[in-house]
Amino acid sequence: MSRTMKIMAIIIGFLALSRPLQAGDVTGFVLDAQSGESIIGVNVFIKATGEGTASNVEGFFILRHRGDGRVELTFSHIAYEDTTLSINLGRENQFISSVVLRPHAIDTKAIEVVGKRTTIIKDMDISSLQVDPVILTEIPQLNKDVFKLIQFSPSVTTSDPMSPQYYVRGSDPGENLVQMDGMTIYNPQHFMGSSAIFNPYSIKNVEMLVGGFDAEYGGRNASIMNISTREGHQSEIHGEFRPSISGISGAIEFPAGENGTAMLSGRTYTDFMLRVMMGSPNLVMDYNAAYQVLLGKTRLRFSGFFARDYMDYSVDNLMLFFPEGLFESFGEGFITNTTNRALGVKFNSVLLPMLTLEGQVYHSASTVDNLTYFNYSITDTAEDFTAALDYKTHIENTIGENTGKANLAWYAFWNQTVKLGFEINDIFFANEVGRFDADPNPNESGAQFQSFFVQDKLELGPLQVKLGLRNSRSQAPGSAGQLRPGKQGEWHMEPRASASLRIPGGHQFKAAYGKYFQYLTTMDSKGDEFVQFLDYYQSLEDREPLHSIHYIVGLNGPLFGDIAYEISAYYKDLQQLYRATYSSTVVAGESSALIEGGSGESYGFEILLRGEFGRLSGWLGYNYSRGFRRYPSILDGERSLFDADQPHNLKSILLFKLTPDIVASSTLQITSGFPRTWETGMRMHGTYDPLTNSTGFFATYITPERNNVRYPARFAWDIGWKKKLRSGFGFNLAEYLGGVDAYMTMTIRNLLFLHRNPVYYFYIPNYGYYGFGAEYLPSISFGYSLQF
Amino acid sequence: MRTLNIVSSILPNPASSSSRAACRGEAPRERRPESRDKHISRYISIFLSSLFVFSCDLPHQPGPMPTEIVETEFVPGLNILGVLRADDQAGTSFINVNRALTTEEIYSDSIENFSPVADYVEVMSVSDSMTYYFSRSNINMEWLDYTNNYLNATAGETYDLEISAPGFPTLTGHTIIPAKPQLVANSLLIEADQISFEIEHQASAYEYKLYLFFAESVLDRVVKPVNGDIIEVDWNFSASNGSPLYLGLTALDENLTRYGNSPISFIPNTYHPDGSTVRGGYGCFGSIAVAVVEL
Repeated sequence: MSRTMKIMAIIIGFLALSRPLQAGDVTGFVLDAQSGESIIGVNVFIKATGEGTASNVEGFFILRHRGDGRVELTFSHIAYEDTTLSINLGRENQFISSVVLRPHAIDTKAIEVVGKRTTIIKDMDISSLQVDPVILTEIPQLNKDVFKLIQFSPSVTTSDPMSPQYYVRGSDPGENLVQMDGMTIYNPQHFMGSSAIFNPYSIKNVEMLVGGFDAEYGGRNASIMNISTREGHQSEIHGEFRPSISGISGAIEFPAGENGTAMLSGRTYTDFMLRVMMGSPNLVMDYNAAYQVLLGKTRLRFSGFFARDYMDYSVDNLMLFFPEGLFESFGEGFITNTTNRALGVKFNSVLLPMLTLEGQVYHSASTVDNLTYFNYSITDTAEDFTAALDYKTHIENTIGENTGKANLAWYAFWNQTVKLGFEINDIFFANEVGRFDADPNPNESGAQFQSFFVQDKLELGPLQVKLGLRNSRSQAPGSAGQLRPGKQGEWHMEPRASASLRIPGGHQFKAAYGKYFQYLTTMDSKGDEFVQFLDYYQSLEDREPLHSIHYIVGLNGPLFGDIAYEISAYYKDLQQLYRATYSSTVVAGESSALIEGGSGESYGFEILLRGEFGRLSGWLGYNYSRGFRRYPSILDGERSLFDADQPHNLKSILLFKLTPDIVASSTLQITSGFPRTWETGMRMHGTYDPLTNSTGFFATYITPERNNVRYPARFAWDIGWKKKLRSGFGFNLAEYLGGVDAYMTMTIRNLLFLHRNPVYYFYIPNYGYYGFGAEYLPSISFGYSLQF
Repeated sequence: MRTLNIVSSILPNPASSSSRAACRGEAPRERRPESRDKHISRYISIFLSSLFVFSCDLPHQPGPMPTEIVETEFVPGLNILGVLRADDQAGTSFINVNRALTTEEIYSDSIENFSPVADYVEVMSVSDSMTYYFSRSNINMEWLDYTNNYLNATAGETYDLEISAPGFPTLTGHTIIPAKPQLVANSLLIEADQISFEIEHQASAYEYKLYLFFAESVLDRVVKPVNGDIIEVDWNFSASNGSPLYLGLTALDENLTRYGNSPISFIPNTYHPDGSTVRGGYGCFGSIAVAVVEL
């Protein structure tokens, strides 16, 4: 046993044997009176003093000893009626198995919900965004997509408007973790980033940690997105049904046996225009199922998830519009086949009022097969010259994971919360690039990631301190107990520390420090595939793990009225990074990604204003951020901008209550342009045919340096409108089908259509360079949804 | 320890207002007057209208242009595709010579001196120092290759290339011609719709392009070496092609493999590493070895 582990064991033993010096804490669960679902973010406070706490993502709360005697304990939440419980505080700990709250009529509170529930910041979390999913339904231009929503966080930047990949505070996309009910989801986007693979109806809560996360979290260095799904209605059948011309989406939740609830949801879409006009079969689907049962003081939850994207696109049908014989040969298209699946069981048990145990076992996997091609041949007989292009990319990538994890939380003396836990991941990788005519021969590898952590949170009056240590390593499978030679087999310590100080006036100062390790990376195919919308996971095998050190400070509090502010500044020392690109791989002739090591840094500050002002609600955020990289193959190792370096970002989500039934919304982004590569010239690239000993040529750009220009600033403004129907066809249809509510939505996108956000610049003879945008006109769309 | 279950005993308390305010011990807030809403609406309208007006780019305008971060100049140079072909015949090797162009040049109506007349194009055998001079039969035909009627490139040999043209840096290249591809003895198996065989892989070959000749058609496929010295190939074909007549095997050297597989930068404003395998210019000087097996 290592020295570190011995010390930790002694400390834990001492704490375990210590008798509590103060008792009388109150714990319990807060539930919805109608559905029985746990409620997140309920404020639990002593009415007389205002001191209190909030329920966590499981609906669990703990109120520390606040003296003796009878007190009025108030449970308050913006979407529920306030409830008060009279209890006796004493030296005994008390556990309240369920406190039920009755919901408000949501319609009248939607706008307040957006302003007040949208960015609930937990007491210690210095950098987190917690979003009530109601915002996804109230803002139709978000298309109920959680990833479109997080782009409005000041901590998030992008590098390609058509790609769903996002960058958090200067880190790469492969350093972001997305989990659904605790299960890692490796490619959480549907085809071409059209939407997240999570049915919005099934989402109960979205929490995104963008920095300073404590020792409980690991495996990724930049961000952790936790999506919690609904547990199901305990007494009635509820759901949603959304038909459209391209598919169908539905969800249903219902009681399932004694103390059990279940939820099923699914979506299936196909583009008929593509099928008919282009002869391109296509399919997008996702299905989600959950069953939860309460066994005494243990909640047991089974979750399953499956998603599939398929498209075989080609332009063959369009060839009839070209003059016959123009091309000797022509082909253009892509074939993409992606699946995502996860299956697991999770339990949450209250062993003692001050002791809870959580555990989970799950399997998750993602398989990707992307082929793109573009080829043509034209012969100019006069010049005896053949123009020919044969461009193909093929990326096959599989990652699978079997994980077991658990953590024990002890709400101890001196207002401490001690947590211990471990996590073991058996990971499988299989990848191959550049395979076209040959049989599959993927490069397969595996690893076992192991980690354990200990963490203590202390409350000392206005000061809260959290100290944690996570220990992690990666081992080759089958060698349990034996360290694999090389750097990954060693244990890596990840200290985490954060502090929060309440300042008079309701303000709070926070600071955090953390060291982070990650044992896998992803491949970059931007510019090789027309749009990269998937992550291709690569094992780091025997290399040093990615690691970085983060420093964060922040200040938040009330500004005036119902407006609150948050300011934070960060610096990240990205000590070890990796870059795996498709381009470099095929040049090197490797079948799996060629990985290059490097380093970098990022820093910035963020300002967020949120709240409610009259009938206006929402948030406005600004951030200044810079990110740099150093790789031997780029600028000879000199410092260069990273792909998503956008120094200035102004983002806003606003809602305005026009009437009790109509809510208008606005989403605005004004951001700096992306760094891009500007070509210096062109040369003729030859294609050689050994059969005929002949050549064809086409022009290709010369790009000696990467990210040598910055695109102009980007402006994006969309507005939306949501109306609850009280008459008309939509209302009558809902009544006929037994629905409870029906809504109409309208979205106008790209209001600033006269401003061009260039995606590419092409050179036009006798004109010069012209910036081509993706959208030139505004678009209007309508939607209808039925709830029952 | 006491456990309470208080499902039915809670009374709602409608008197409380803002939960967050109460948690801080602050008094509930009052509703704002209507006039403030009008002010807010006015300010937002002015801001957004200004944004709309001042961000205009009409379609006929080039649009906002990017700004330079790193100064990057165009580097002129010769651009070639040269292939030495070891096929037991003389005169089948060639070198195509042109030059890199600025973006403005390539889109102009006429490109001056696109294929510069070289002072010399010489290929030297490293083993015996024999030098072969390549020439173009008609210097006015810009797309015509430079050839040499006497060079019978030998599999396994190493050759150096040097090209000099006025106004351009001297371009040099180097290639090791792969060994002539061979099948593993007795590995060939032909069926009605499949042919199977094994290739004896040599380290000098980085890729194999295979051709299956029928009476009226040719099929092709690419195989890459894997770990080990044997490459197993199982090749299915439609029986309607008839019986295969010949099997053509070509082994490509490292240069031609890298150049042929290098990403092509036809997506603008996108970085791609250059697949050139020569020095002092752009392009590729590579080689192949050819073998034909009668079936």
